[in-house]
Amino acid sequence: MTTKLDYQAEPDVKLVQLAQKGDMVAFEELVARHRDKIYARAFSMLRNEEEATDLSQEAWVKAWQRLVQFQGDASFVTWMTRICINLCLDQLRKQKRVRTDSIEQMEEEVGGVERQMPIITPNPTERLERGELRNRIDKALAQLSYEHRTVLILHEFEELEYKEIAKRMECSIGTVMSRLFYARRKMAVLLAGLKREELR
Amino acid sequence: MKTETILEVQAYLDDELASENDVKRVANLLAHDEEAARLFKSLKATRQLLEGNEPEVKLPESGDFYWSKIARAIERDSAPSKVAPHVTPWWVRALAPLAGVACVGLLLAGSGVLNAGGKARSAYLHEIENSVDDSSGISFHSQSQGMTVVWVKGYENP
Repeated sequence: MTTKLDYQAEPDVKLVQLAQKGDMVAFEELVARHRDKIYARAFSMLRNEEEATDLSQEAWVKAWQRLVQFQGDASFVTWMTRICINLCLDQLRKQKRVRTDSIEQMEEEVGGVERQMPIITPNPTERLERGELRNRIDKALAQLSYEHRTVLILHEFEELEYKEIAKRMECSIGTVMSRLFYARRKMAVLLAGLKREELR
Repeated sequence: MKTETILEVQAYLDDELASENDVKRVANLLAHDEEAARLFKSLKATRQLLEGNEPEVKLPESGDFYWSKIARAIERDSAPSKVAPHVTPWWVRALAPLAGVACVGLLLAGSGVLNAGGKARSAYLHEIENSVDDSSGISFHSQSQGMTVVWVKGYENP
């Protein structure tokens, strides 16, 4: 007598093993578990619902095709997120969203922005509901250029080192540092600005 | 503050400085330079604010619909091709380079380089030697009969 496998009760590791042998139901369960996180990463980078949906689905298809390569060095969701990030970066490169003629970026390259932007210290101890704070952060992130947003996401949320970010974004470590600095400073200004706006 | 110093302060915060000496140097700077300390505080506060507060985003469509598109794409990609792939036998692949050599040989034979003047040349390789300077010719080839007829017309001086 065989017992029916309860996929929902199985850990990711077991589901991955089953999926590696071609079990689509196991893979479907993995998608169900992590689809929101993968979609959220794509959306945070692309800032477009439709694109993020399509691209995150493409990431899942790629993951299925490369599943045999997954060795379990990192968790499945980390591995999956990396696939999604790489696809997002490719997509952003294709779209050529880099505006090299932007005055803002030119100033950043020569270090003008660092000097112009005032040092603002957001108060992390301010009593805010977590949802409200996340909402503010989302609004501020939306106002960053894709390069600054991507560096910030990869460093703060994905916890990647400068070297790894530079490799993925195909730029120098110096550029990563400069972009990260600019992104943090701008986030501080935007978060402080949003606070003032909401107090009025 | 120099851009280089600014970025070093940030690298100190991110634990990305290359050496212990750099760490000591920047720590010393933060202890004595008010502007650097203020910058460090600001960067740290921003980092703390973002830590664990990534905006939550939900998939804008139902999970079933989302999965159905993934499943279709997987099935499409893994479906075997309806046209059987053409496999060249190993002996054909092995003999392929010889085919080129054979072609060159045939061309040479046709042009009379090989076996020049030999008696074993095939009839269709016979040259028509024309000693008449002022002449013209018309040829006719019949595929069905497997023959070629050539009329050679010479002009004699009046």
